[in-house]
Amino acid sequence: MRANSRLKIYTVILILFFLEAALIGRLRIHGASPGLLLIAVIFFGFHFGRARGAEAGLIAGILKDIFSLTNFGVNAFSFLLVGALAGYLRKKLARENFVTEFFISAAAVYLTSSVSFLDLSRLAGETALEGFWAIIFYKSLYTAFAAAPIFFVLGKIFGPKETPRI
Amino acid sequence: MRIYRIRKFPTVLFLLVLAVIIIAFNSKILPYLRGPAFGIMTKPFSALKGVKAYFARPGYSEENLRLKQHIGALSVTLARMKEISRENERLRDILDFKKNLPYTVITARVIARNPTDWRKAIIINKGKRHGVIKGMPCATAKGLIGSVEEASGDSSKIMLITDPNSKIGVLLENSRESGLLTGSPRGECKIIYLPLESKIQKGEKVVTAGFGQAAPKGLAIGKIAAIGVENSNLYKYAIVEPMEDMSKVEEVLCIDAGE
Repeated sequence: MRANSRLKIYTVILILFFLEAALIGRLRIHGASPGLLLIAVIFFGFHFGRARGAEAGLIAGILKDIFSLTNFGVNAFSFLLVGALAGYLRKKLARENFVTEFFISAAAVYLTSSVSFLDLSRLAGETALEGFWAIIFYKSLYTAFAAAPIFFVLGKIFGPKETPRI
Repeated sequence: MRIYRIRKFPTVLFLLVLAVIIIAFNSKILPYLRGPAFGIMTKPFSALKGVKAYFARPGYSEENLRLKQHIGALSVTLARMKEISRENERLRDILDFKKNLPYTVITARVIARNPTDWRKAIIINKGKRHGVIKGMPCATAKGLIGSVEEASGDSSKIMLITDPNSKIGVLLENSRESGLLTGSPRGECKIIYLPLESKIQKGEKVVTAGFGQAAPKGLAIGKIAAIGVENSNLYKYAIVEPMEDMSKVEEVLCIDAGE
């Protein structure tokens, strides 16, 4: 992958992170907001393969970890998994379209949230976790619907998919 | 293809091991990584606030507005005046509240919010350099909103009372019952471990109990919105509606309650 593409990936991650921290938090529906960074990580996995997907996931997750109250590394780990899995799936999927983007984004929300749930249940206990999965349901829907436009914009920025070097 | 797999697999594995190391050595890495990184990452948010404040200066705006059409200028001025008036009102409330508090307080502005939906936190533009330290209770003119979870040089992270990991000893103003206030991912507060025979009532005011260092006694938190019995039938619980709408907090007071 060219250094130019890597720079573009990091710039996109930073912009989306600032959007999430400064703006998106105010647009919550049923306590949930769309996971813009998560969608971007899936896109990078699909577009550049599992190594770059994992790398983008790790960076995006660390940024989230810096600002959130979770144990440091929890988001980094779960986002890395999502990036790597998206990279793995890019060759397995028959075709990439709105439907696959929708379902994979929703599934990714459940994957990252499950890791966070384990971390949070260790800290806060069962009583404090009431309503967690209800929020995740709305978050997965919100993220899934936001996936198509973000994939479209990122597709315009990054151009056609990179083919793996053999 | 085989070469490709061999080339790519170690990268993913290396990154995965790196993430696991970060989690495993969390407590050792944290002070060296999270604090400075948090300090650096909050700079753009503070800068953004600064730019916003620059353009909000009355002289600057008025000079520009004169160049615009009369109706447009009037509507913009009106909108700005309304915003300034609202800000003025908030700041006056904070000033009154500050005057009445027998503690040293540090006023700060909210510059960002927690990017995850199930944890509830805000980032403020004051840190260790201004006297903010971990554990400091934070309030607005309406009441307690949380406590400082992490402080770097110029910014701090506040865990809100609506966070699932927040636990505060509280007292009900009329019935004098005490309980433990905890948050939830939904963003609501709940008092747990209330005795079954307690005579709490809907609408009753909830204040801090002053146990430990969490907050000085008597700070308003919210009002009882609903009462119920836990599934175990051992305790009652009460849902508390916080005095402050956490999504709209813009200025915060960090209270130095001392020992």
